[in-house]
Amino acid sequence: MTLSERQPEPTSPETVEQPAKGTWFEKVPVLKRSGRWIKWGLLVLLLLLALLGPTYLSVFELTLAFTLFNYMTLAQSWNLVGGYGGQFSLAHSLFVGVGSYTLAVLLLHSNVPIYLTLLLSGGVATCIATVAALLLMRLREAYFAIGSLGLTMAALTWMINWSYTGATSGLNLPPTAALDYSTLYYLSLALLVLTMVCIVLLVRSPFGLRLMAIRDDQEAAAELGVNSFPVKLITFAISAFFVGVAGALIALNSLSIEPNSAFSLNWVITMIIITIIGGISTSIGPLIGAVVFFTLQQALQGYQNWSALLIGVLLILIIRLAPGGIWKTLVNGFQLLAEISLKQRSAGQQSASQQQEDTVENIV
Amino acid sequence: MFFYHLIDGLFLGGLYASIALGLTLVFGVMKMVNLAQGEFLIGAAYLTYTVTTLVHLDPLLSLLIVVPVIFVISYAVQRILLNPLIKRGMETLLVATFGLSLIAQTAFTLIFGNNTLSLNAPYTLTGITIFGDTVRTIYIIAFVAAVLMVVGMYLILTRLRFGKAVRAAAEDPAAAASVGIDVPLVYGVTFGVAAALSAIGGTLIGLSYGFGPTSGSEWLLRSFVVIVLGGMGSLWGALLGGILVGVIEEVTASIVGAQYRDLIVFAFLVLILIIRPQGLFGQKVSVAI
Repeated sequence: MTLSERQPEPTSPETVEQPAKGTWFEKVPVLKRSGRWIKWGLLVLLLLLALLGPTYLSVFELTLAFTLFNYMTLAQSWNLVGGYGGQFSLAHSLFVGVGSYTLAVLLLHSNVPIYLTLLLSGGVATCIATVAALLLMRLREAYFAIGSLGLTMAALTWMINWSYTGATSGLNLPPTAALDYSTLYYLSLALLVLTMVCIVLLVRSPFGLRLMAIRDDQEAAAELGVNSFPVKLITFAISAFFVGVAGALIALNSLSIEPNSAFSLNWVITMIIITIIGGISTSIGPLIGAVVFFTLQQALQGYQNWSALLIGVLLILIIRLAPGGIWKTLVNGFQLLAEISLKQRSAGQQSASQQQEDTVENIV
Repeated sequence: MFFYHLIDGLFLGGLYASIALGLTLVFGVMKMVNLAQGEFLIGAAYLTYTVTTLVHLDPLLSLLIVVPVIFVISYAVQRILLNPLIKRGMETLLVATFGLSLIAQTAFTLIFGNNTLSLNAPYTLTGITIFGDTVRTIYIIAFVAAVLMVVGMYLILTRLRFGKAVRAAAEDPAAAASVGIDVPLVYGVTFGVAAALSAIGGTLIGLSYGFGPTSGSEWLLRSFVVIVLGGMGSLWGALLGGILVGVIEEVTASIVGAQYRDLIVFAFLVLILIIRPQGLFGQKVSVAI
């Protein structure tokens, strides 16, 4: 294990601790009480809006929302491994492809109902991820990134040559696989909600703490009795499940798949871009990143070169100036504003009674 | 027949070594995986193309102009953009260099279009017969260039004062800084030199194959295989790794068919990483020798 002898790198921006939820608004007395309600209220409102989507969205808008939800799911899944886990995986394209192809093969060669197929696609992706993890998890940092890249490229070249799955021309899904747009919309929404709930709960559980401890300092975590291998393996497998189901959904939407797009490195590149832009190692970041990325992509659809250029510049600006991404920058900005306004208020209340001043100071 | 494939592979391997050298040098000295290395290759090829069409110089001669230009550009990029990020760890650098490669690819498309271009010279389509096997002249030039570059870098790193400073900075940046070595300068120059080596490799690519705005990533992948095989950060490893990849490709392609070429190469990459992450020839990763 020569790799483990390498000096631990200085803390990267991704390893900056996630701010404890609610710190900034708990400092403002009014928000402290209502903050929790506002948060849940907003969440319910957004969910309600999303659930009623098909009643007010056109077919075109539904397909856009489908893609957006998939981007969110994919980016959040990558964030679990790449952000919270600190494993810069480039193997996630592989799981998209495995999900797509599992669905296609099952629908073509068996009578398994379509919804079960979706779950099975995720399951197969999980199995592949477990094998990949057994092979690669001993590697760290650049070595892991390159190893996962090699695995993806090997899988892609295999699929290009495998006649069972149609080699380069790929597979066409049977006509029975065609679902209407609102069903696809709901499926992608359901997957997104499931992914969010699972990952948020996972990250806040003791398991998540172990995962982040390993990311921040694997040797120190090992000293404290955290065995890194199973934690990394399970995280990788869970992440792959969601990506696999998303891949199956993508195949259901396009109805025909071919290896060069199903296993394209663009999938994992998109996941990474979205996560970095929105905010790596945060649960909200990938959602915001997906909205920004997708909006840019759609707004500059006729000018693909310019959108790629813009995304490249945005990526560099964010990594250079705001390494926490949009979400952390927003949160920090609010925190600063809240602190400034509190200071002004406490300065204005100097003449107030001692007791009042005490409370304000306690809050500050 | 088998012997012929060995010779073909050997010289193809020279080309691979010449494109992988820059990547291994940057990794060896500053622990940075430069995802924009492929764009340095292709950028140099485009620059050579521009120079040759403007002044009708031989592509290899025009390197006298291209290499300094690429050196200056990449030195500036390293000092302004990448150097402040080095202390923040590997993922940050991966993302930053990936952003660079996106920007560079787009710039290539906007300036030169999506067409596949190639560099022309009297020696691109000729061959030389060695032991009864005909090898493309350009591969032989690439092989010689690769050996010269590796030997040159080795001499610079071991004999020159600056080379010793580079090795010290690679071994332990903090200790090097404490004895008065300007580590950011060393990093900047190393990055520039790596890009200059890639410029030579890129021009050789342009002479051997066609290239387009996105070909950089393809060559970056090949370079990864080469430097993983030889040991990441190892100079001689890059040369030996390049030759080995070339030979493996040619020989297996002749046995199982050319369409499985990439599969074998990438499977081999994963296999080596699992069995011997430090590469076949490297001892311990870190110093670029």
